[in-house]
Amino acid sequence: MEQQTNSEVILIVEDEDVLRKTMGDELRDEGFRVLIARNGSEGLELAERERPDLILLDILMPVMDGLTMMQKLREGSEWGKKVPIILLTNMSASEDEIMHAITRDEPAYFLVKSNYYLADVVAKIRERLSAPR
Amino acid sequence: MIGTSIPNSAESGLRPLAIEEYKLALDSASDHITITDAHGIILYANRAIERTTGFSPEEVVGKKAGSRELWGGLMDRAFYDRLWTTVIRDRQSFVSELRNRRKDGTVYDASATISPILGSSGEVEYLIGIERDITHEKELERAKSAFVSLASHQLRTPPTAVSWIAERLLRERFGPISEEQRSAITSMRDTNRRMISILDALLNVSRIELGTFSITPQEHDGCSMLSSAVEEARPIALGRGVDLRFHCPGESVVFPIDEPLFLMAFGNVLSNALRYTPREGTVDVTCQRVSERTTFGGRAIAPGRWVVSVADTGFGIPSQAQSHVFSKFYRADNVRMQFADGTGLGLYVARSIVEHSGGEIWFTSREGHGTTFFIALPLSGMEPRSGPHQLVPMEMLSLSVTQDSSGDIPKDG
Repeated sequence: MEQQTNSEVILIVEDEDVLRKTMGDELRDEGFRVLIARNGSEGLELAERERPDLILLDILMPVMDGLTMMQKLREGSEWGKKVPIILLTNMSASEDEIMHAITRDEPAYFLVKSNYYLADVVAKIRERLSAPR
Repeated sequence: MIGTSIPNSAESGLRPLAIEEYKLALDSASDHITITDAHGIILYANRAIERTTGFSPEEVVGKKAGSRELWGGLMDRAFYDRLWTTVIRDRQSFVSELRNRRKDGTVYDASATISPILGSSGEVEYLIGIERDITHEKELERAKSAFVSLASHQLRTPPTAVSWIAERLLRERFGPISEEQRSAITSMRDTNRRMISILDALLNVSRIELGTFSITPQEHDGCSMLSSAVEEARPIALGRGVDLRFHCPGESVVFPIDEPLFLMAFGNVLSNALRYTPREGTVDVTCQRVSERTTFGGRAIAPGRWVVSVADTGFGIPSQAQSHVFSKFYRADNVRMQFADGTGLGLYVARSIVEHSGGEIWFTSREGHGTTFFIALPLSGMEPRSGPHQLVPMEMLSLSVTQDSSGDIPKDG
């Protein structure tokens, strides 16, 4: 696990067990360090404590949904304002609401889970991590 | 149906009824019935009018049918223009669904037929309007669409998970796999993508039917947009052995376009052309700005429009199928036999996008020779509309790529 100590940390906030596990395993295999949370409230706490390099955030979740978590994070701290977020959706929320949240809370990107291969999501993560912040 | 002439009761051979008996029949009808003069001023209304509109027959006589003062005024100007043109100028029956307002202000859905009655000189003397309250049916329809929408959200998580796990298997994350295993897992992954794309299409249909999708046009160059879409499809054309050509006259055509929506409509048309054209065939994509009245595929197009055409040398659409191709879930027999996997929703979605944004879509086709589709958009721009949702991108083109790679394409003649 030596190589992973220097690797970038991704927080996955997703309530679907299979999706969370599969995405987490793939990211670990790709050399990232992975943190997981099951809802926005867990995600918010973990994010503030561990300060991951990027957050993969599901939108529809129990307890606290992804858009609320993102808003709280953006309002919470200087770090929270800047951490890159990739929103994962299954087109369940109103996209206008999502687009509104994204324009308000840059930098965030929005991917439709079912339309992407895992490899595409990984590529998107790498692209975000290498982008100037 | 052309308007009926006033009957001569002596010729009908029926026992002449007293006018009161006719009135009794009309008053027991469950649909509301009005008789107006040629200007729409109500001469008679049956009792059912009170049930649908809340106005009593006595209240409406002498007023204009469907006016704002009574139950009308909710439809746009173009609707009423179409109505009057049909019944007065063309002397045809007008049949349509519409929304009206009751006396108490509540809105109801109605299905109406308005027919002209012609006098001896052939001029419209009376109009007979029959209207049925279909609010309940419309509510059921909306509930059905809302259910489809909810179900397709819920249903996409499981195939997404299967597709992701299959992807990990294919990347040998769980150890090396044999060629046979690779082929089986690839089929599994692609089948799941197909399921997702059917869900996407269903979700779009429900958003179209619920009227909840938005159109957000922005200034774009139509030519370069088409050109990149064609380039994106080129690998598929190469894989299928189809010569894909693009011709767009030099200058750029910049006007307000909702890029993702337009590309979805165009993509659905193009992917059909590529799919239903046999090896060695050609698909020609062209676009042009219409500067003087020009006929495309039998339809005269006025200046101020931008016309895109997609012409293929494919199987063509059988003549008996031509009136159905834009219908939901419709697939012509000749392609259904060869390609079991289409959803029959691509052209329905394409037409909905184009027509909701003020454009037109049509085609000409000969079975065994090929098909040409045309899309015309107003250069003043696609018409914006607001709504809480966007349509889901339909990845039909990329889907065809995965089918190619699985060697699943039938050998076309």
